[in-house]
This record gives sequence, C-alpha cells and structure tokens, in this order.
Amino acid sequence: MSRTLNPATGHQTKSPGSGAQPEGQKPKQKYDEVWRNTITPEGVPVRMELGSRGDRLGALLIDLLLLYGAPILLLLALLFSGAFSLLPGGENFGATLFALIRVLLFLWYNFYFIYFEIRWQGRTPGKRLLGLRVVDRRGGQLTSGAVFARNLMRELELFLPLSLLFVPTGNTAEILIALLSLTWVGVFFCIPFFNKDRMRVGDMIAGTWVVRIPKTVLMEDIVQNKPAVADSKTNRSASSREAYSFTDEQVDAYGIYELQTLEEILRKPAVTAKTIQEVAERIRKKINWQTEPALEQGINRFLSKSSRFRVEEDRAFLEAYYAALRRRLENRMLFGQRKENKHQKD
Amino acid sequence: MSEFALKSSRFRAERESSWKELQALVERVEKQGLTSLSAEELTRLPNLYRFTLSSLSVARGVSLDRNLLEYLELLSTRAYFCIYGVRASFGGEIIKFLAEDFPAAVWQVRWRTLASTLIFCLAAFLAFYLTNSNEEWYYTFVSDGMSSGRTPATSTEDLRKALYDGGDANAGDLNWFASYLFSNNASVGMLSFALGFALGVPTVMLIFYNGAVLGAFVALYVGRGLGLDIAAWLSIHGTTELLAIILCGAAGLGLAKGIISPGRESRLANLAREGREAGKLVIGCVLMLLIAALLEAFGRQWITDITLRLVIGGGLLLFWLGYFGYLGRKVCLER
Repeated sequence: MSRTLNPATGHQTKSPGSGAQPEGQKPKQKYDEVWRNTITPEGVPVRMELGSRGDRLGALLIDLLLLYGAPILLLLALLFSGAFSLLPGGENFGATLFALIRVLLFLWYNFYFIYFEIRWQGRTPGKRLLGLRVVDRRGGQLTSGAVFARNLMRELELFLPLSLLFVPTGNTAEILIALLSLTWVGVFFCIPFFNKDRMRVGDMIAGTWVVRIPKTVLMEDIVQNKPAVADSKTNRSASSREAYSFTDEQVDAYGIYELQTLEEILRKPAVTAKTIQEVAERIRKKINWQTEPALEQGINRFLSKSSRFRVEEDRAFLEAYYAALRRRLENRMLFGQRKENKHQKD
Repeated sequence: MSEFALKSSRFRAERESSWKELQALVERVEKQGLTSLSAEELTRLPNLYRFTLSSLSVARGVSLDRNLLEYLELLSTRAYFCIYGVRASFGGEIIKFLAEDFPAAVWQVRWRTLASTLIFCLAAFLAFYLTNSNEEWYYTFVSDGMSSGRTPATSTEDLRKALYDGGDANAGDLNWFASYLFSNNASVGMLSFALGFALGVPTVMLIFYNGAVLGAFVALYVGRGLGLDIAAWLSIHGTTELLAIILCGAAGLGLAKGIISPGRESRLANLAREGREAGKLVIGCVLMLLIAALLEAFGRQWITDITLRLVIGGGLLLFWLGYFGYLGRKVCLER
C-alpha cells in the first residue's frame, strides 16, 4: 500500500485543489507502471514489482558471460592441467571426443536458461544475483512449457541478431541484406521498451513476466521502546524524547506520505547531519514548535561543547514527532480515515 | 514506557519471531532447495506462511510503518513461491514430459500439423514435378552447399555411390557428422518455431523451402531410376527428422494463430496459452532431431541394405504415429 501512494501524492501536490478526493479513487497511472497484483490462493493480494529493463539487461549480460565464459575456462583449465595427455591416443578417439563436446556445447548453449529456470523456479544465475524472477502472469505455477517457450524465443531475439553481427560482408548487396535483417530482428530486441509490462517476445509467448523480489531486512521499529539498560547516550535521547509532547494541531499537520518520508530519513544509515537538521528545522517551523526553556538551556549548555549533541537532539525530536504522528495517523486509520498527505482536508 | 507502545508496535512485537522463523526457512529453501528442510520444518512452513500472510492483511490495516509493510509483502511473496512454485524434480519433470506432455501437445495440434504437412508435401511435389520436367530447376531449389556435389551433372554411378558409400566409415567421423547434423537441424527447428511470431509467414516459407529441397532431390534420383534407393536412404532418418521439422512448423503456425485469431480471450492471453503448448512441442522435436541425427550418421552409413533401411524408417514412423496418435490422444482425453 505504502509506496504506491508516493507518486500519487506527488501528483496531487501539483494540484492542491484536488486534495479532497473521495476514498478509493486513487490515481492509477504511476501505480500501474511498476506494480502488479497477484492474489494468492488464500485470497490475499500480494504486490510484485516489475524488474527494470536495466536490471534485466544486467542479468542477461551476467548469464551470457557465464554461458560463453564457462566452457572456455573449462577448456583452458583442462589444457593447462595437462589432462589431455592422459587420454588414450588414436584418431578415432579424438574425433569421438570432439563430437561429444559439440553435442554437450549445443545442450549447454540451448538449455542453460531452461535448466536453471526450471530448477531454480524462474531464476538463472544472473537473475538470482540481481534479485529477479520469472513468474506466471496469472499468478499460477511457472510451468515447464512456459520456460521452454520463453527461452526458445531467445533464438530469435538474441542469438540470431548476434550471429548476424558477425556475418562477413563483402559487397553492397550483402551489407544491405545484413542491415535489413538487423533492423528486422532489432524490432524484436526493442519490444520490451514498447509495452508497459516490459515483456520481451518470449514473455508474451509464455505468459510470464519478470519481477524483482529483493531481499529485505526487517529493521527495528523506530517507535519501539529503547531498553533502559543501554548506555548513557541512548538513555539521554530516550529521556529527552519523553519530554516532547505535541498538541493535536501539531500532529495533524502532516499525512501518511510525509510520515513515510520521515521514516525513510530516520532509517537511512547514510543520511547527513545537515539533512536531519534541515528536516527538523522545517517541521518545527511548520508546527510552530516552541522549544521549552529547560531544554533550551540544556542545548545551550552543550552547544559550546559539541555540535554532535545538537544533531542527536534533532534526531530525538524527529523520532518523537514520528512516533506521535504515527500514533495519530494509525488511530485515525483504525476509524477508517486515511489521511494520505498534508494537503488532504479533514 | 507502555504509553509509547503503539498498537502497531505491539502487533509487531507479538509476531516478529514467527516472521523471522519463516524468513530463515525461506532463505534456506531458496539456497539449498526444499529437500534441505527436516520433516518438522516442512510442516511448519505452510503454517508460518499463512500466519505471515494474515499478518500482512492486518498490518495493512493497522500499521503505517513502510519498512514493516514492505518486509511482510516480500516475505509473503517469497514464501508463496516456496510453497506454490515447487515441482518434484528435474528428472521427474522430464519423465512426465515424455510420457504425457509432449504426445498430448502434438495431439492437440493435429490439424495444424496436417496443414504443415500439406504445405511441405505441396512444395515437395511442385519441386519434384518441375525438376522432373527440366533438371535445370534443381539448381533453383538446392543450393551448392547443400547438394555437396550431387547435381544433375553428376553421373548416375556417382549418385548411386553417394547413397551407399560410407559403409566403411569409422565411428569417429560419424560422431562428428551426427553432432553437426543435430545442432544444425535443431537450430532450424527452433527458428521455424520462433519465426511463427512474425504471423507465421517465415515459418511457412521455411517449411516450403525444406519440402522443395526434398522434392528436387528425389526427382534427381528418380530420373536416374534410383527411386527405391533414395526412398530407403531418406526413410531411415527422414521419417523422424521430417516429422520433427513439420511439427516445429506446426508450432510456429500455432503462434501465428494466437496472434491473428485470438478467439474469445485477449490476444496476449491467447498467445501465452498457444506459446506454452508450442514450447513443449519444440523441445520434444529437439529430442526427435537428436534421434534422427544419430540414425542419419550411424544407421544410414552402416546399414546399406534397402529393405532394412525401409523397415527401420517405416517402423519409426509407426512408432511416432502410435506415440502421438494413441498415447497423445489418451492423455488428452484423460485431461
């Protein structure tokens, strides 16, 4: 739910007049671009994000590297390890070995993708590295027929254009023919750029698409109670957070979009002190925050010592405000009022 | 401070350990496969999955913690694939494919196969007729590389020799020949399927061309009174190979039909359905071509007796007809 609303809110911000939109009529354009819903057999809709074209190209390049690199490496390793000298001699044997290698290579080149996509449920080594996965468009099981179909199409989409690139060109007619066939297969190569589901021809044939399922970590709850036994620094910020209390108007200043943006800032490890300070400053201004005299003194006392403390103070303020805002918005959500952003009127 | 604990935080604290447990299981399945789980863990997996899924539904209603929502969503998706995306084994999949999927896929497209066969035969007859009336036509249908010295200019004796020599060829050369034939034919087959996406026109052309080459070839030999010889020479591997090429063509036509006349479904949905069936067909054909190449390289060079050649070729044809016509039909009816 959450991220879908960002683009939508961004859209709304441009036209503040449309703030009071009726429920359930969320703007759809951007949402449809990346997210696809699948309903599990348990009846719970689960969203999946389409893999970006760049990621897919990257996965393909990794796979190609493996596809062509692995046999070469293996061959070199065999050559240098001197395993060949151990083989029995004779013309006959050499030719048989060569023929065997040829069939093996054919199988490797043509069944590499098929094997991995069946074995690893829609993932090849390249896709696995980039967190991509082939899934059935209707949300069912990825059948072997689908895997066959989408990978047989590669012949046309990828290997044919590649082989055409290396066709020897002598006279103008040959160059012309090569160019024409290149344009023709170029069309197939470009198809993922011309449909909103980013399907290549193989995906269309097989009824699949490629989604991104990255590994996620469950980060600590920002609102959760900090353990009291922590070091003095944490204690200080925890106790100072308790000192903050916000009025109803102050926590009504923002909506869900702003809440989740704030969450992102608080969660990001590499966020600079300056950003924290700026955000805190802006929120203070927006909600007319009056610094309490006692705290003011405290800050002044420490200001001369370290600016690090000030950042911590800002962070504590932001965390406290986040907690208050989330409590407010979640409570209202329980009563069926979703306040999507700060522009939405009550 | 209990005052600070939000409802959503409490919700999370109560369930977090189960999510983490599911995450650990899912990660193991993704890395080492389902077999790495113990019996107890296996029974635990679906329970944890349903629990997490219901957590996701609740979380959407009570929590605004984006990280939590995303985590639950992705964890549910990954677990979903662990549970519903599983198949028995690669080997089992292959056996099922050979015993059920492939013959059924062929039986389902029998009319299309017939159309593809007709195109092939039409081309063959046309080329046969033209070449028979005027041998110059031969050069139109058969390129230099393909004829490998077997042209109308070749003497009858040499032509006959080309059909029967190789009896003394050693296995090494033949291996090489077989592997070459296989990778070549299989590429042609796959391509004629893939080209079906371009509304089938290139597929039809490819089938037509293959038929024409065959017709011209046969005409050349028949003209020299070697009709039975060429029939035997071709049949030993040809019944398998040509059938596979025709089936690949039928698969390509299936794609074309999916695009041109989608029926009740949307074009894309129909294309997907046709494509999946056709994909199975083509993979099966690749296997057929492997058999054909072995027959062509070994059987044809070593077995020079006309009757034996015809018997093997005819026997294989009967086998394929029974495989597709009987087994395929049976599987289709059972479904």
